[in-house]
Amino acid sequence: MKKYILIIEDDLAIIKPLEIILSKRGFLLKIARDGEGAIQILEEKDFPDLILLDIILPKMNGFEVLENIKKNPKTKKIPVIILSNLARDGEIERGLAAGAADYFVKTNFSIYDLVEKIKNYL
Amino acid sequence: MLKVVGIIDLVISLGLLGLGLFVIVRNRQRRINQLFGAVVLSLVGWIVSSSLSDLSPNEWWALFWARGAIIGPFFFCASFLYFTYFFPRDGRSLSKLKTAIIFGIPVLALILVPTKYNIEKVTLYEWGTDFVPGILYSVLLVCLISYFGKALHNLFKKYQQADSYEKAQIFYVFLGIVLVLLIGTFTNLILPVYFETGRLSVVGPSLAILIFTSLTAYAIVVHHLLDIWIVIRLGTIFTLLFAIISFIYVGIIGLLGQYIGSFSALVIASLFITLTFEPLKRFIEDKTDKIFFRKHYQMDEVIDELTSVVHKIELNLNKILDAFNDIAAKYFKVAEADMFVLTPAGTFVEQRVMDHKRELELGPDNPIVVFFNSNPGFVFNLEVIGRKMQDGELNLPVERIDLVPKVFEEMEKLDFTVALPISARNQLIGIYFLGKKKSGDDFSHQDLQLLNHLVLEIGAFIDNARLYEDLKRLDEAKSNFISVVSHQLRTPLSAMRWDTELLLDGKIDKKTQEEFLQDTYKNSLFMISHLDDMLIALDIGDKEINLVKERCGLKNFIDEVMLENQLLIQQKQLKFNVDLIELADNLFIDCKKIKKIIWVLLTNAINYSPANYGVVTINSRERQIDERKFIEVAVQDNGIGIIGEEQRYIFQKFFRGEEAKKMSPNGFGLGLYIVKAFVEAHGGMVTFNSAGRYKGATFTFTLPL
Repeated sequence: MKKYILIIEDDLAIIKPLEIILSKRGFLLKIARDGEGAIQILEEKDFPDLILLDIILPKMNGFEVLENIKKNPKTKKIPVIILSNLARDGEIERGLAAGAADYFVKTNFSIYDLVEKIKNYL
Repeated sequence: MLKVVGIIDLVISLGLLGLGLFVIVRNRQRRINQLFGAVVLSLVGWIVSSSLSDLSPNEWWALFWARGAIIGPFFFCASFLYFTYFFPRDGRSLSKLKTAIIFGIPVLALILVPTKYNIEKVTLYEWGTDFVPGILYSVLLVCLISYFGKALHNLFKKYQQADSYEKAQIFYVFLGIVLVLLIGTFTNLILPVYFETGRLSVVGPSLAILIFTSLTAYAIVVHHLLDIWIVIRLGTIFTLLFAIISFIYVGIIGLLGQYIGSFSALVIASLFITLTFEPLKRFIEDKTDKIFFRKHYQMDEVIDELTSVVHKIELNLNKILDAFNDIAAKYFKVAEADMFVLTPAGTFVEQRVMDHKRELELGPDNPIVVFFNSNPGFVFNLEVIGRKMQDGELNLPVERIDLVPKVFEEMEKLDFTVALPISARNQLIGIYFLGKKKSGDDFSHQDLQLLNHLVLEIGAFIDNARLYEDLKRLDEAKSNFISVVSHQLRTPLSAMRWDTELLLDGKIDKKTQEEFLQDTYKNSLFMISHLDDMLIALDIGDKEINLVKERCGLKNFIDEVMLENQLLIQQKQLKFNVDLIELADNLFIDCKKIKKIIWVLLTNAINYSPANYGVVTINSRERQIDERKFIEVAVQDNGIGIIGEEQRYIFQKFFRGEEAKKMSPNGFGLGLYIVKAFVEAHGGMVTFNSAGRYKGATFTFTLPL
């Protein structure tokens, strides 16, 4: 069965390359453009196998979304990888402390390396 | 003579009664207060019945009251013992057995009160009554000795475990007992033996009891004002006062009594004592203070202590203020010390209080604030100024002397005695207030000198702490800025990196290839424009803005912005109303900079307007301000609006409103900062108004024609 990934990201220029490479690797994708949209998708009981989460998002920021995911007993076991360009130690620590499985700074990875890293969590 | 002594006793017992009631009323709920009431009531019963016995018209009544008088001491020693189990702190309740033993004996004694085992016979004399005590008196004596022994033992045990202020409370009670013994010995032993007068032996013990109960009452009621020095001071003053008055009293009666009769001598003695009491008391206070109490601190010592304390603590405003308050409490022994510190809003807010926080605030128009703003070095001492005002000679070397009565009134209302301005770098940054000294003394010259020194130090420390906090805040803002900027630059860069990686790989279809190239191009433009903004913003702080003026029109700029944001405008279905006067198309301005202004205001309006029913209106008009002609341009939207605190910071570098961050997370917080700088560089002004959240905002700027 195909694995299903939820991408929570507002920037279309980031979504597009991710979409192309991940679907080429055979993943099913769903995209939420803001925090509230992501929560809505998760409330539809359409649980993904992995969540890629940006931090700077409209309406509700990534940390809040993560908190929500980890509070809900039905979603708290889904691995969440933070994919952000906030790159300071404090921000990374905060993300991991809130229960993220990993924290990747976008510019630090080629898109191919990123996909390999993501696959480790599936 | 007899009647006078009896009446004095009755007056004393009335005083006692009042005291007992006062203590109970002060706190009805506390058991100590209730028990103290019981102790006082039994004392009152004792004194009243024995003085009624003295005042009796015949021996039957004298016997009746004398027999009744024994109830008082029985219950007095029982209730006092009981009281010591709970004093100074309400402890656990006493076992029923102990209570029964303590009160059993007095209750049993009640049976023997009306019998000959109490008093068999009373004889009336001129100076009072004499009686033959029965067996009950031996019981009373045993009771008094054992109960008081146990009570003192209780107090001693508690004294060892007590903290400092409870120690002082217990000390009061000890002091009271010692005073009673002293006075009792004086009136009932020394006077009768050496001066052969038994007259005071009737009133002496009552007086002693009054002093003892007053001290205990003081300890209970004013317990948070306790201070061992004050106790000793009061004890010393009152003992000396009592000794001197007794000496005068006995002397006058002894010298004059044989010539003019004892009653007249008594009247003269009483009159003399009444007239000389106040000056005598003040004299004794003055002398005792000079000898024992006034010089118990040395300026240098205090300043050394302050410096060492302050050097030990970190540069934290609250901790420093606490240290100062501690010093004030220790050396001036004031009931209250309070510091008001200037806030950025221009008001003085209560910062650190010794006892309790009242959350007071003094506005910039408060007379105290206004007064100290014009008299930055003046110490406002309520006692001194109050005396001057009373004497009607208010010639102080101050500015705004008209404010002095108002300051006086304000300080009385706040219950402070001394106020000192705290300044730093010629600005009033705080006011330090002190309440009354617990001893009731005025502030001495030395006190005020020390206080002056203290506030100088406080001023310097507050200033340092503030500078340090400002630096810290600036540092935070800087690191926050670096974080935001790196994020904003990384985002388009990562998109560009991934797009080109996929393009280089060549395994994507033609349409996507084209899209990626478009995205990369747009991202590079985004980065260029943001880098420009950053450089402009950095320059604004550093140097004057250079204007390169040409002729151009606003209409073109608006069209360009709308074209570049076409997609978003269509998505949100925004409506535009543009209504410009002809003049707006032919302005002599720095075209690049004014285009930037239009770009910022218009993209803000587009970004923060609601989808589907958003309306953006741009209009202009000619205005005359102070004989100069301006064009005024207003950009109005019905978007998220600007509320509360945001209004204060909206034009500050890197500031972004909370709602704005949610709607458009990628902004830098530089747009409006740049707008303000560019408009002002042209000699114009930018303002805004907003009716509230989701009620839209209107930005208006003017440019000189």
